[in-house]
Amino acid sequence: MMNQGVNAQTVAAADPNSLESRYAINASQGQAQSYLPSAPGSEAASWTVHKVEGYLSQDGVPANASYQHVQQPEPHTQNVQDGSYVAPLSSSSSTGTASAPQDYNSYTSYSNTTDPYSAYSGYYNGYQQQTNNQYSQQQPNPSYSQPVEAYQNTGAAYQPNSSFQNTGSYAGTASYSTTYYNPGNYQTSGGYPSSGYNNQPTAWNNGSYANYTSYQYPNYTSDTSSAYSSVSAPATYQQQYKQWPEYYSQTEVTCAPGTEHLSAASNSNHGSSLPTVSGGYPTPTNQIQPQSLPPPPPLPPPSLTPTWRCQPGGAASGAHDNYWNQPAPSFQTHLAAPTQPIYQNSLDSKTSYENFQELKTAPQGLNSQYPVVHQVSQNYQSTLPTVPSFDARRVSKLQIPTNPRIASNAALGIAKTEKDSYAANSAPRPAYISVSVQKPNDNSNSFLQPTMLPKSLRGYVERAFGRYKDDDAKRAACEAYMKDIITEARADGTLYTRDWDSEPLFTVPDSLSINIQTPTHASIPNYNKSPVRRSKSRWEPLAEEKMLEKPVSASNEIGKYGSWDRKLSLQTFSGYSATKDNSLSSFRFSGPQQRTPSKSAQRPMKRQRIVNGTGLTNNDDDASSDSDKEQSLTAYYSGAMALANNPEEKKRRESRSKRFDRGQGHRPDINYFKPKNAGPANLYTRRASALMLSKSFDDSANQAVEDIDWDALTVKGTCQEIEKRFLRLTSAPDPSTVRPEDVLEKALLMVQNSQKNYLYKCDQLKSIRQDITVQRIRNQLTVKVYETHARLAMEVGDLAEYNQCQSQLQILYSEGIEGCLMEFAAYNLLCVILHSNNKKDLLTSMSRLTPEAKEDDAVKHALAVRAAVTSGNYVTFFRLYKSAPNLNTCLMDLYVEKMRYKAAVCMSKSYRPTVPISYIAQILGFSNAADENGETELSGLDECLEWLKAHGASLITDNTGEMQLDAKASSSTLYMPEPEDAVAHGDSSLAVNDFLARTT
Amino acid sequence: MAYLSMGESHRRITDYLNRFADAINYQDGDSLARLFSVSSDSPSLLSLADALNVFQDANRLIKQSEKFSQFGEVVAPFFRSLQCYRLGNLVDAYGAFEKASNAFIQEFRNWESGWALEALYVIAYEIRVLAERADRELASNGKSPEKLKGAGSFLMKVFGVLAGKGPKRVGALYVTCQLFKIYFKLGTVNLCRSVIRSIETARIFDFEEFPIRDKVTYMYYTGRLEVLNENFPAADQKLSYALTHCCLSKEANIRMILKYLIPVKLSIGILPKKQLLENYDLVEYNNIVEALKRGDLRLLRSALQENEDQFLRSGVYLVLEKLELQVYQRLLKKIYIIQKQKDPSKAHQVKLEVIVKALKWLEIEMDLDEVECIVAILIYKNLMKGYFAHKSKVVVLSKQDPFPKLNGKPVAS
Repeated sequence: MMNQGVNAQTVAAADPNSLESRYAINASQGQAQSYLPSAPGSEAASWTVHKVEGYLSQDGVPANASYQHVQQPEPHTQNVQDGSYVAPLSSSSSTGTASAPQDYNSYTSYSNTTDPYSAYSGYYNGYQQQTNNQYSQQQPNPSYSQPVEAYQNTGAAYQPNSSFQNTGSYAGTASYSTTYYNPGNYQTSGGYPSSGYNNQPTAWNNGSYANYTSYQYPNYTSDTSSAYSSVSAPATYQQQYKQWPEYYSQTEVTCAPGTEHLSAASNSNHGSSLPTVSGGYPTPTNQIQPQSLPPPPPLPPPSLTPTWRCQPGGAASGAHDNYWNQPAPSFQTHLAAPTQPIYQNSLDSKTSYENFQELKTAPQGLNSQYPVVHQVSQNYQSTLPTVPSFDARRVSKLQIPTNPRIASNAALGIAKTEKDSYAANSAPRPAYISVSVQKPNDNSNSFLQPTMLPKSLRGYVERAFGRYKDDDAKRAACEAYMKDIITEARADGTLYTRDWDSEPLFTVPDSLSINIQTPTHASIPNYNKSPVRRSKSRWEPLAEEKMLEKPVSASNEIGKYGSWDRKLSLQTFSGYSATKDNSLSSFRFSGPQQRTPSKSAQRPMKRQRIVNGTGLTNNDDDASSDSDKEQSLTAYYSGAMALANNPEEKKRRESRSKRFDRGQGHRPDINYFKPKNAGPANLYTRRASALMLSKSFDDSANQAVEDIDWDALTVKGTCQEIEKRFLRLTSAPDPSTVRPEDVLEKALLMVQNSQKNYLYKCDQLKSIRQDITVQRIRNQLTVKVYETHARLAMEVGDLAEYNQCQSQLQILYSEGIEGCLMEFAAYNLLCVILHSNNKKDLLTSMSRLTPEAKEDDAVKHALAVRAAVTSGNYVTFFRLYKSAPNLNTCLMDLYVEKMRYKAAVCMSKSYRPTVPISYIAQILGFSNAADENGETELSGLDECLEWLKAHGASLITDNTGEMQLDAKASSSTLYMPEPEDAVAHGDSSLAVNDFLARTT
Repeated sequence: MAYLSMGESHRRITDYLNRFADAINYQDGDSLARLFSVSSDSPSLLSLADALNVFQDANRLIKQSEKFSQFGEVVAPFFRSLQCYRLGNLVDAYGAFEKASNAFIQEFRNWESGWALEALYVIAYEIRVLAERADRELASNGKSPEKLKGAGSFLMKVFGVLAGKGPKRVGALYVTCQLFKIYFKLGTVNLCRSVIRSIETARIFDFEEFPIRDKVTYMYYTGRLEVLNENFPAADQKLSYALTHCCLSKEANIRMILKYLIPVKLSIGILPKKQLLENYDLVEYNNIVEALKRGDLRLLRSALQENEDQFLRSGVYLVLEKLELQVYQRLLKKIYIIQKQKDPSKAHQVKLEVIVKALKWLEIEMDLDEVECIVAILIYKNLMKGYFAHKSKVVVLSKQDPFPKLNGKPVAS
C-alpha cells in the first residue's frame, strides 16, 4: 500500500501532467499517467499491487508490500522514470496507429483508476514497451532474419490484435505481466500475449547476461539494437549496466532486455517526454539513436517493426543503452511482479514460449527468440525476489535517466526515424498501444495463471522449491525448471489435467544452481519475507558506485542511482563483484556494454548458459558457436523433455531439430547431463556429436572411452581430391573431406614430384598425415609419407617438423613396418648427438643398434660423426660432412657453425705463431670443391675470411702475401657473433624470409 | 603339491592370522616384516600359500573374529596375492599385493612411531620385485609392461608418507633407493631428480641419520647419475663414499660400485691396480687400463669395441671413449721420452710425421691433418703444454712439465 500511496503522489503529479505532462516530466507524471490509464480501478490496484499483489496472490502478498515500500523510497524517481516510460507508451499509443490510441485509452483508464498504481502502470507500460523492445531485440538476436520475420509476423498478427504485440512485449515484462496481466486480462485476454510476454521476459532473464550480452545485445546494438537502442537511452544503458553488473549478472541481463523494452517505450515516450529528460541524457541518447537506426531495417516492416522502429528511432542512438536501461526496467518490473506470479506467468509464458519456439517454423523465428526470453524470465524469477526491489529501484532510477535520455533520444530518434512509423512517437505508441492491449491479455493470462494454476500444481511447485530451501541458486534453477514444466504443461493442455501431486520432482543441475547463485534473492520465500527495504539498503551502496562509474549518468541519475546504490549493499552482491567490474567496464563503453554483460555472464554465465540451456534458449544457436549450440540444445532439451510425449510437441521438435542435425542424437545425452554441470555436458555433447558421425553411437554417451569401438568409428574417406590443404581438425572428421588410401598415394606422389616450395609441400604432407591418422592407416604408405616429410623437413632445416616425423617413424618401425630404417636410425643418432646432446638418449640409441645396423653406411657415418663431435675432432667432422650419405649433411649443417667456432678457438690456442687461412678454409670445410676447381677454392677462401672476420679473428698478411690467422691475438678476440638473422623468437630457422629463401 | 587336509589348511591360515595380529599388537616390526615377504619364498609362507589354495574361503576366517577382521583390508588381498604368487600368476599377485600395501600404508600412516618401518621396507621391496616379475610376465605375453611404472608411483606415495617430520622419516631413504632402482630400470632417470631434491634440500633429513645401507645405495645411484652427466668430480665423491661405507662382505655391491667408480677414476687420471680389477671380476677394464698405461690407442679401441654392449648398457661407454685423448697424450709422452733419450736438446720438438708413424705402427691410419688436429686438441685441453707450428709441422713442447698430470681433475672440456 505504501506504493499506492507513493503512486498516488506520483499519480497526482502525473495526472495533472497527463500524458503530455508525463512526457515533460518523465518521472512522476509519466508514471501517474501510465498507471492511471493502464490500471483502471481494480486493475490499477492490481497493478500497483502487481508486484506485491502478484506476489501475494501467487506467493505471499507481504512481499509485495515490502516491494512497494522499496519502490516508494525511490519511487519518485522510479515513478518518474516509469512515468516517462509510461508516457512514452502512452505517447506511442497515441501516436501509434489506431490501435495505439485505444490502448492508451485503456491504459489511461487503468492508470486513472489506480492513481497510486498508475505510476506502476506507467512502469508497466514502460515495461511493456520495454518488453516490446526486447522482443524486437530478441528477434534480432536469435537469427536476425528469422526473428525479425517472426516479429513481423507476430507483429502483424499482434497488431491486428494490437494487444498481441504489445502483450508480447508486455509479457516480456513478465514480471509486469503479473501486474499487467490484470490489466491485460481486462483489455484483451489474449492467451498468447501473456505467454509471449512472459516468454520474452523470461528469456531475457534466462538469457541472463550471457545470452543477452553475447547474443541479444550484440544483435541489438547492431541490428535490432537500434530498436532497442531507440528505446533505451544510452544513459539508461549505462545505468542499467551499472546496476546490472553490480546487482546480478543474471538479473541484470534480464533486466537489460526488459530495460530495452522500457527504453523503447521510453523512447516513444521520449518523443513526448524526452524534452524534459533530454537534458540529462542527451549524449547517450544520441549514441543510441544512431544504433537504433540500423536495427529498423532488420526488423521487418510489419506492424511490429514499425513499433520497434519507432522505438529504435527514438532509442536508436541509445540502442545499447536502451537495452540496458530497458532491461533494468524489465527487471524491475519483473522483480516488481511477484516473483511467484512471475514464475507462474513466466512459466505459462514459457510454455507458450516453448510453444513458440517449437512453432519456430514460421513464428519460430519469433518463438525462438522468445524462448530465450522465457528462459531469462525464469532466471529472473528466481533472482527476482531480491532483485525485484533492486530492479525496481534501478528501473526507476534507470528509467529516469533513460527517460531523459530517451526523451533526448526520442527527440533525436524521432527526428531521425520517427517519420515512418513514428509519426515519430505515434508509431511506437501504436505499438505500445497494441502492447497495452496485449498487456491486458497478458494480465488476463497472468491472472489466469496465478488463479488458474491448480492447487496440485502449486503444491508441486512448493515441493520443488522446498527441496532447495537453503540453496537459493538451486532454487532459482528450480524456478526456471518449474517454468518450463508449467509452460509445457500449459502448451500440452495438461496443466489442469496432469496429476501434479504424483509428478516426479526434477533435479536441479548444480551448474544451474551456480548460475543462479547470484540471486541470493532467488528464493521466492525470501523475497516475500525480505522487505524491499533490505534490498534497497544492500543495493544502494552498490548502485552509487555504479553510478559514479557511469560516465554518462546525468546528475539526476546519479542522485537517484546514488540512493539506489546506497540501498544496495555490497555484501549481498559480493557474488556480483565480478559482474560489477564488468558492468563498470561495460558502462564505460557503450559498445562494450554488451561485452561486459557477456564477460560478467561468462564466468557466471557459463553457468547461466547452462541455465539457459536447461530452460530455454534456442535462439542463441543461430549466432552462437558450437558450444553455444550445445548449450542451447541442452536447454532446449531440458525444456522440451517434458513435452516429449506430446505428439504436437514431437512434430514441432522434429521440425526444430532439423536445425540441429546432431540434436536428435544428442537428446539422450543431453538429458542425461542436464542435471550435471554444463561444462561436462558440453564436452559430452561434443564428444557425442563426434561419435554421431559414426552414426552408430547414440548411446555412446554412457560408454566409457575405453569401451568405444574405435574401429567402428574410424572414418573411411571418400574424398577424391588429390590436393588438400591442411586444416587442424576441430571436430570429428568429415568422411567427405578425407581421402582414401589410394588417393593419398597419388597425393604423396604429387607432392614428391611437385616443383613447388617446401611450405606447400609441408602443408600437403600434413594434410596427408592427417587423413592417414584419421583413418588409422598404419602401413608402408604411412611410413613413406612420414619419411618423405622428414626428408623434406631436414632439407630445409625444419627440425620441429622433422622431430614429429621421426618420433612417428620410430613407432612405425618398432611395429615392424618396413621403411628406410637405417637411414632414419642414422638421422636419429645425428639428431641426438648434434641437437639434443642428451647422454642418456644417446646411450639408449646406440645400445639399440643392431650389429647389422652398425654395418650400415649411414649409421656408420653417424657414429663416426658422433665420435668426432665428442672428441672435438674438427678435421674428421668436416671430412664426414663432405662425405655424408643421404641427408646426413642436412643435419650436420645445423652443427657446422658450432664446430667451426670450436675449431677456431682450439687452433688459436694451440697454433703459434700463425695459421694460413687457406689451411683453415680447407680444414673447416669452406672450400667445397677445392680439389676440382680452383675457383671454388678461392670462393671458399673468401668465405673463410669472411667467417673469421665475423668471429673476431685477428688476421695478418705474411711476407709472401698470404693471409694468416694471428693465433695468439685471435685467442683472446674470438667470439661467437650473434647470428645476423637472429629473430625475436631466437630460432633463426623460423625467420620467414630466410625460410622462404631456403624453401623456394 | 602334497595333499593337504582342510584341517591343516585351516590351522595354517589361523596361525598366520594370529601371528599377524600379534605382530601388530606387540608392535613387532621384524615379525611383521617376515609375514609380508612374499618373494622370500620362506617355508612358512609357501605352506600358507598351499593352505590358501586348499582352503578357498580364507576371507571367512578373517571375518570370523574381531581380532582378524580389523586387518581384513590388508590380509585379504595379501592372501590373494600369495595365492597368485604361488600359482605363478605374478600380474595378479602384484595387483593384490599393491592393494594390501595400500591398506597397510593407510594403517601405517596412523601409527605414530616407526616400529613398522621394517615391514614397510619389506613391502616397498616386494612391490618392486613383484612388479618387475609381473612386467616380465606381461612382456612375455606380448602385453605392455606397466606394473613397474605403477610400483614407482605407489612408492612415491609411500615416500610422501615418510617424508614428513617424525620418527618415520629415517625410512624415506630406503624407499628412495627402491625408487631409484625402478627408475634406472625403466630408464626414466630424470624422475630421480625430484626425490633427490627433497632428500638433499629438506632440512628434516639429516643425511647421516639414515641407515648406512641406505646411504650407500643412495650414493651409488646418485653417483651413477653424475656419471651420466659426466660430472666426474661429483661422481667420484659419491661413488667413493659408497665404496668406503659399503660392507666389505658385500662383494657384489662393491663390484657394482667399482664398475662406475673405475671409469670415473680413469677419466681423472687415476688408474686402478690390476689386483683390484681381478678381485672384483672387472676384467673388462683390464685392457683399457693397459691402453692408458701404454698409450696404445689400438688396444683402447679394441677393448671398447669388445665390450661395447656392456659399456653401453651400463652407461660408461661415453666415459671410456673419452679416454682416447689420454691415450694420445701417453703416446706423445712416450715419443717425447724416446726423443729425449736420443737427443735431449731437440726432445721438445716433436715432428708430426713421427706421430703419424707411431700411429701407423699401431695400425691406425691417420693423415697429417688429422694428427695435427689431435695435437691441437691436446694442447687446447691442456693435456700437453706447448704449441704447434703449422709451417714446419712441428709440435713444440714446453720444457717444463710438457705432459701435466690430471691429478684428480677431469680433462678440460
